[in-house]
Amino acid sequence: MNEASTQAIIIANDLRTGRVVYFTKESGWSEAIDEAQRLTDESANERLAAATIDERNNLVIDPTLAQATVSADTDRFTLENIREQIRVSGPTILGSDHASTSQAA
Amino acid sequence: MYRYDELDQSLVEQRSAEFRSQVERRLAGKISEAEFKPLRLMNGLYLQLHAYMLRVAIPYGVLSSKQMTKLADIADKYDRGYGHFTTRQNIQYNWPKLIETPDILDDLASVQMHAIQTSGNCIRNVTTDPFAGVAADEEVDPRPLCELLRQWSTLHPEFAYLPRKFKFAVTGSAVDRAAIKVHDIGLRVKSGPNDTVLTDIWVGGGQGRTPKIAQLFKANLPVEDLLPYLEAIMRVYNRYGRRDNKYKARIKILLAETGLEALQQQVEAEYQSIDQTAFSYIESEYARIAGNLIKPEYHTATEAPTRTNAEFEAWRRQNVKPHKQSGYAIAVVSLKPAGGIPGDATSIQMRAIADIAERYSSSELRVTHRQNLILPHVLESDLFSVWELLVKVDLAEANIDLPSDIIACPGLDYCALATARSIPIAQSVSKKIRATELTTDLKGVSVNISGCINACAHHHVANIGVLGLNKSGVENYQLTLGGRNDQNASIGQRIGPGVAADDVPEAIERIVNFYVDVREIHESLPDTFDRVGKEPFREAVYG
Repeated sequence: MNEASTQAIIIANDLRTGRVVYFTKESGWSEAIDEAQRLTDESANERLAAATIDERNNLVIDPTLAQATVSADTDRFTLENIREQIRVSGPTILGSDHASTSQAA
Repeated sequence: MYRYDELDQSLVEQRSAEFRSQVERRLAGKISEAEFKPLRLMNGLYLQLHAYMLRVAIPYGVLSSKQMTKLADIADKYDRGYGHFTTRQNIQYNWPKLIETPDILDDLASVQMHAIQTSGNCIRNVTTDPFAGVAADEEVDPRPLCELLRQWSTLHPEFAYLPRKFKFAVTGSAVDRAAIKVHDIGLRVKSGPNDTVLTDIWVGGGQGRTPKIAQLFKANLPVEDLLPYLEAIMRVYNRYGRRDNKYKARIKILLAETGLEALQQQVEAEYQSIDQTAFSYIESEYARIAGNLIKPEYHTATEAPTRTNAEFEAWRRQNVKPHKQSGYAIAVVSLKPAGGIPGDATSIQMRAIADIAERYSSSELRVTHRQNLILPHVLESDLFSVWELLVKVDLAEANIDLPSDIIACPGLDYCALATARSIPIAQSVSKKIRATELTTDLKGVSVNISGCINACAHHHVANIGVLGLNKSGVENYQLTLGGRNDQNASIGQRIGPGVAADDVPEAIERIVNFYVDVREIHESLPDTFDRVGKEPFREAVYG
């Protein structure tokens, strides 16, 4: 079995809506986690600096790096911090329609 | 309930317009997030994990049917069709957008509501006994004082930037249903000679990482002298409260570090320096406010209640409380269905209860600090009809003051400060414990679940407290026992190492079963805990 590696994504909140957004390869922001750019240790700080420009441009609030473990066998991407896991997947409330971050407001 | 006037209306409209301008400047990039954050917080707007969160003030927990209907409309129009009632008798929306918040504040202002001072280092929404004005055991109605405090503290220029947030609670009964001893200032209003009203001032209670029970600071102060005295306390706190460390900034720490007697002397000196004539209006204003409380027209029951069934009787036994007016009752509406989200109500439920209140409770509702709702003026002969309507919208759970009547904060599912989840734990616990409480007398056993050390769910003063922490990246839950939040308030004791999330319901069931096994007749859980000690309970949980 191959060893897991570490990657990161950049997460922020959209200024206008407050929704969780992810920094993309095209240096834009998306509400879809699948569009988040996966970053290696080498590129993470440089991309965070680029993302922070959008904070100064009043597009997003508090862009931060979220570390994840990536399975070498399945490429499964798992955020390391439970806070970030919930931030990405939405409330974990049992049997409730509150639980989706993508639900229409 | 209190009848707001043109001044109140003007104030909320001006504040809404001001915030609209602030939002416009923020969106246009004219002010930074660092500059905007304190402004939005002063209007109750937080940024949480998934979205903004708007906390709306419900002064001393009193709502009209019209206001509740507006809250439902806002939930549908700007949010996801529900709201969350809190331990400060407020309501929170979890998904508003910044760009729509000014419109929300306009909608709130149309029914004299707002979000002023629901956040920030200021005097927060004053809370009180949810049975204020109607409780059979009440000595003095605390609502006139609450309204006086609301007017005094709203936009008070001296107290907009205190060392830390500041919370008042008021009770007018010997039985404390407002948890006054775990507030920065707790006030006990009582009758004095010759129809006078006196107040006992309790100072320095609080929860969070340093829980403290308040100390009696001043006894039997005539209500006319209360505001200058409170002003003196606030000035001393504002001057000497620590600003170097937010965890040591509450007045409870100032009291602990200064000592009761020394702090009393400082306050007395400040009080003597205050121009008392500036407060000469209080006596007449207190009387004016008391006169401006809209009093329901109580009627004599026209017919004896005849309809009943077993489910209704269970609800009446558990959720209906004695009213001071003969023939009337207080109906407590549980927002804690087994397996549900404590304190949440959908817009459908909000509209339904607004309609019920309009028809059966003089258009008045209350929010309790235990995150339930109240119909404060129900004719006993109408109780069955009320219950039938509550059943239709899943609001008839008969579990008030039982363990499944859980207080839970939003926890890590919503809150940016939380270290662990609270709501799913509460859901699992209530599901498990509900079966036991249906067959065993567990009245009065309280379970409170906080998702971090800030203790928003008041776990320190629960009979069974649960505190969620993050231990090496994994949620872990500490259990405390023996806390009380009534007139005999006490802080619970931690009974052992934390347990995993999945193990919390089982641990609580073991605690409850052990209590049932060893309690004496009519003995409460904290009294049993005090009598038998920590070890037997610890053994019951951990084996």
